[in-house]
Amino acid sequence: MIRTDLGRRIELVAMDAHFHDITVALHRAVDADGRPAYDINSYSTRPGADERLAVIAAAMQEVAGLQAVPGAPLRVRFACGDAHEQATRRAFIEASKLDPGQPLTARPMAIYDKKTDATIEVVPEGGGLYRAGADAAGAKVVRRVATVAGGLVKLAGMEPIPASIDQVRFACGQDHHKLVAMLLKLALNARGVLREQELAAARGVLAAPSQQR
Amino acid sequence: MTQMNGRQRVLAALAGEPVDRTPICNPTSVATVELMDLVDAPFPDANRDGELMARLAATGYTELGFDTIMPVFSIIQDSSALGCKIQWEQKDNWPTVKMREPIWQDADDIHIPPDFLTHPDTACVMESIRILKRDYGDEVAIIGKTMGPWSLAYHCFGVEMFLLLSLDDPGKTKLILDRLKKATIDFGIAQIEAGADALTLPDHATGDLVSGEWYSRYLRDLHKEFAEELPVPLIMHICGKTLDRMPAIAETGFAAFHYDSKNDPADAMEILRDRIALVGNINNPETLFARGPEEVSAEVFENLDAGVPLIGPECAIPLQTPLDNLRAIPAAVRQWHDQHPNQHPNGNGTGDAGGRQDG
Repeated sequence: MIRTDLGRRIELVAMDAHFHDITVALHRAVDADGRPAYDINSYSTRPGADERLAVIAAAMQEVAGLQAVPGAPLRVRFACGDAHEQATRRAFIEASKLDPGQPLTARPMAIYDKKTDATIEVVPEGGGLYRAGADAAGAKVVRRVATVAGGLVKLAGMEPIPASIDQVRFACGQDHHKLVAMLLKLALNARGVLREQELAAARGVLAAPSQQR
Repeated sequence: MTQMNGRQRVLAALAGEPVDRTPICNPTSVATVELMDLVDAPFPDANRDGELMARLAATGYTELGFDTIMPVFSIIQDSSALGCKIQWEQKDNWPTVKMREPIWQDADDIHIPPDFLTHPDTACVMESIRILKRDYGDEVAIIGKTMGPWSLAYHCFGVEMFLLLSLDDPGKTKLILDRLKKATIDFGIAQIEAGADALTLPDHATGDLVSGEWYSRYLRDLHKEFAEELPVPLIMHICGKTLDRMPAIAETGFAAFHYDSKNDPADAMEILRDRIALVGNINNPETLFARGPEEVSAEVFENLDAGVPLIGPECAIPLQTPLDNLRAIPAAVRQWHDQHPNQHPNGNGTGDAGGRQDG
């Protein structure tokens, strides 16, 4: 039976590469205390499907910093009470990609960037404010740092800081180190990440024969 | 008015007769990846195995609440049996004909294989219809699908080649269409014998590539033949802007036209009212796929206000369509009728014969 207790579906992984190609969805939810939360659901009846969803929920907590909701094993939320929906959608997609055979670990807030031969890092400045930087100088590095800051805005819905090319912040005013660390690698190529997301969503849209090849 | 079941409701609406409420009808697929999980009948297997095909198709009724079940999800079953090369894809995508590898170059190449109806990719359709007829045939309308010769020609000759031929050599184009019509009729008859209550007949003379004049020149008379040869209500399906060919489609003897959201419901009804039924036209890529139940309901209401006699998606829905949006279609139809209690489609009630009036 289709569940009628779920909120609006906001993200879908059509084929879970780590569990029999089942479809896994992320839905909006509201906690008993009125705080925004998210439910992970699959309609698969395969044995082990619920355990797989629990692994995704655990990955969202460990790698992206969401928290568990007591009594609801497939529900996650942010401790700050903000929805951070855009970031949660990204965290859900990334969590579903993680190899369940590997231990879950938070990612570092620094990453080597081949294009600039520099290490790009994101430094927390408190109150949900982060500054992107690098261990090298030069115009190319400056552009790359700005790209990372812009990528965090695009991927997580963070706010740009006026007159700053390297600072971004969460509107909630709270720190989310794990989330930022998870997004850092993706932020280097946010446009490509979003394009990949669009293509994945477009699969399964039937074109008329005149539009097919 | 006496309450009808889904089958009675759909068949009455296709015949232009009064119904207790507007039927929710899917002449094309409403399968989604989540429904595939629910009944463990994923693509591509559900396109090739009659039991899986029936199981997945039934969810349109059992889970979504439509008045029809339509098991022929793809548009390639008959083309596969004709010999076209098929890209079967995975769970999350549609099988397609490899049209860059056409199987025929000339009308004389056309050959309907002797195993056309026993080929696994057509036989599974008949098997699924038999199963659905057995399990749900007293409750809902079972709709089959047989592709028209224009679509088959795209698949077998390639889109570009066939369109150029239609410009350069009308005689040869008509010869190809005439020779392909046997496939359309044979597959349709086989599905009727298996238990189909109605047939969708897609023939992709689409608004983006083919004009209304082209439709009259090449397809209208051929479609009249189908209406005579196939003894169930036929639902013509053509994508795109089609207002310019609706008058010609109305002359074919088809029961209904399944129309695209690129056409305004009121404009379409203005053309077809009292002639043939309309089915549609909830937008797929923007509304059903990407928006929410409120927007779906708004499009349902627009169709009902215009007097469209059967409501459903405009075409095969995207496989990632949210289930809430699909369930919003029947919910919106019921809501509209609750708000218009004296409006009975097709003239039984306060509306004029052949259409509703807004209350």
